[in-house]
Amino acid sequence: MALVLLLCGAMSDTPSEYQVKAVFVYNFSHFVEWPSRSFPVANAPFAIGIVGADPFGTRLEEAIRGERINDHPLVLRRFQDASGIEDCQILFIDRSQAKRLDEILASLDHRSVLTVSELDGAAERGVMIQFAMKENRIRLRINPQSARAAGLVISSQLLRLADIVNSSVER
Amino acid sequence: MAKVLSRRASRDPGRPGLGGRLAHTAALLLLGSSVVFRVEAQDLSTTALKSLSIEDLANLEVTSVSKTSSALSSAPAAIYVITHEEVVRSGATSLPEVLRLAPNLQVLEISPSNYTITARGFSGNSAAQNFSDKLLVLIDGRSVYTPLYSGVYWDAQDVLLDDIERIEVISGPGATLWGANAVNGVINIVTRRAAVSESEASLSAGNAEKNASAQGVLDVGPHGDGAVRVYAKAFERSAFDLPSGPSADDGWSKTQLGFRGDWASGADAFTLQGDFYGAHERQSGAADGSIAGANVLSRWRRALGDDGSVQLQAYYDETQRFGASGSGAFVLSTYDVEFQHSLTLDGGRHALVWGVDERASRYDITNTATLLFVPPQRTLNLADIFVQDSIALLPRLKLIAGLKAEDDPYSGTTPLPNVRLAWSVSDTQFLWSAVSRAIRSPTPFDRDIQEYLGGTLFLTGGANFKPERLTAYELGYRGQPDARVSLSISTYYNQFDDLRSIEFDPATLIPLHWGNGMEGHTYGLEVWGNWQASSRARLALGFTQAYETLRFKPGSSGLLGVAQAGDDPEHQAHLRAAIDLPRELTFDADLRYVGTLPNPEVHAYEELNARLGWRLTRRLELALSGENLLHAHHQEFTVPPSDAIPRRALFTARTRF
Repeated sequence: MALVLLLCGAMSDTPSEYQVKAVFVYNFSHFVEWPSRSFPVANAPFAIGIVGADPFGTRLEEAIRGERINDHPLVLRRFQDASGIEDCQILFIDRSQAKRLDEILASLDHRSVLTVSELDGAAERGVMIQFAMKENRIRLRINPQSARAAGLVISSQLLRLADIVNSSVER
Repeated sequence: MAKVLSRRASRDPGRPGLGGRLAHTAALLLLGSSVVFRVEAQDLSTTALKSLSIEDLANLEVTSVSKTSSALSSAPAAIYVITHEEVVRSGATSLPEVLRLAPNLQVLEISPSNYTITARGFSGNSAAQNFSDKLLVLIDGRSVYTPLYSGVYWDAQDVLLDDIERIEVISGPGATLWGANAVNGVINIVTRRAAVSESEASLSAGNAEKNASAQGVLDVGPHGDGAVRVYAKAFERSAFDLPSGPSADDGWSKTQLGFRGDWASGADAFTLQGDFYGAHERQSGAADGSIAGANVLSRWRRALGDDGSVQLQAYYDETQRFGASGSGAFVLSTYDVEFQHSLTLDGGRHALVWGVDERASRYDITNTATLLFVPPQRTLNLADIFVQDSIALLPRLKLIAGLKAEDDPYSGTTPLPNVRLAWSVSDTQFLWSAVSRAIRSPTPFDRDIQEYLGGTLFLTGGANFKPERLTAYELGYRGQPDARVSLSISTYYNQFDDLRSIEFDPATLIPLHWGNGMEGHTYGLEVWGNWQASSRARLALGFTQAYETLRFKPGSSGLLGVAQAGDDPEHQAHLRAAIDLPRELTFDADLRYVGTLPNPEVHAYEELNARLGWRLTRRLELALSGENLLHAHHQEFTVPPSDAIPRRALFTARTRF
């Protein structure tokens, strides 16, 4: 098949970690419900924010390009650090922000933002969805308490796939 | 010979890929712009990933940025893993057809409901009442070989094929960790956790069969931290023809229901699963038969600190087989409890596993006039205790030493040691070697039978029948010579002693009895490899060579010759292609060659299976598949009555919810 030959050597066969994580983040927009007050107008953008370094390269942008959720166009916003975080519906907290995690989560209090991170133990510290790796597969660790407190409803289809985590006792 | 028993007596480094779904952007490629091509190429893979269900995403193996290449399995054994994707893309509709995918298994189709599956020879010889009896087969930890004669009734073993996570096929004696009867190999069928199973329904129809199945997955638990799947399947398989032409009249139909629930809470994980089935079988030249069975299994596993864990498992399994009145029947109930503890010592230098297993099998046989089990009711107790230590001698060299003590119903306790060396020569090359002891312990068929011919007792079980013994020496290599190529080479030398033979009564000649008068050795080579030719095409090649030299010990009668142990081909080979085509199409083809079976003679044959799949939408997939496409009929075995295996085609529609 000519098309098969054209694509020879284009890519390695096993997808990379961040390719799949980017698609997961895109999928979260479909498996979580935000309260209607999150969107001031009917077609206000649905923003996915990244605070810290961007580990996805162009993957997350590719995954959301041209997509809409309930008529809200998906956009990507990048923030350097905790102080610069503007309105967004999903916030990916990069590893580089490890020391400022508590500060970031406190600043999001009372706002319906779905927090996502790869940091070890992030879910116990209140991050709503944490990526973990097990046997070369991406595992989700979800803290439903955190999500509920922010007014977010996580679909049971997503919860079922995940390891459920409770917040650790406050220090 | 009871038709029920003889008829049923069967003779015995994977890559998930993407399952390619090129979107409409494939059309853009035809515009020829190289810039468009480069950018679009990346879009295509993200687009492909976005069309997967969230359960599929969670099951996808990924390469980590930090690792140089995909992890090379460091199991010191000749192991082939049939992945979920291989199962689905093969178009197979039964477990024996799925098992054809393993290059280290011999799969022989005899009738719509009867297969003989074995590894490394000893497929048996039904005329000599010898069967494939040296394989341990497990479904989710439940042992499914029958304790009555150590073979497997393949018509009674089934799962919803879409629920298969992987099948580990190990040729050679199972290491200490595996249960009893792992002499020539272990087939470990593992199904997916409920949480990553899919709600779906499927219908298929063709010239040889009709299938229907459905499955639902539900959440359980207060925080949605558990799930249950419930499935039902039913099928009809048409009769085949006899080699001489007329129909063998051996079609059958079966229904099976089952469930599996998994819950996790902190470091604990629980599983509860069960199945229930019934089938009606027409038999060539005999009255109709039926089988029914049910099983339930529970498992608890707790992860301990330092990579340790404990696991407790218990199951109950009931099997019944009936012929019409006069042709024998049995009911078999098995209770099994097993405990395993794994821990690390000395800062991880020692990885220890130990465990105990207790199994009670109670059977109740309805004897016939010509084949009797005396006594017809008995409870067999099997127990074993094992320990295995994996010692890191050097950072890349491990010594694995294990000992199992197996207490069999008839033969008492036998120690079964094995020693393995595992050397990770580099990140991409691995060498292993092993020396092991295994036994095929006596069964009621070996010890308790009485067979009558024309009113005269002509064969009895051996009152002193001993276990068949194996000492196996193995050497293997596994490597990735190139990022796109993986290769596995295993060799073995098996020394057998006390293999079953037929002996004369010392005083009166008749009745004959089973003895342990055969011995000998087998040796062979098993090679398989994968070549990821492009991101859309994968080729796989495999071949095995096996040689047997068996002889009778001094004093043995030599009746029926050494051919009774097995009718095994010297060569087997396969060539497989998996191609992702544009427009959501996938194509898979599997060409196999099986060499001549020596005695009774069966011609060598080549055959081709193929499947064209079409994913119309994210939820609906259609497929057209065919088996044995090269010839209208071919023969895989000659055990009378052994059918002419036909060419078959099947159309499948599957929808996910």
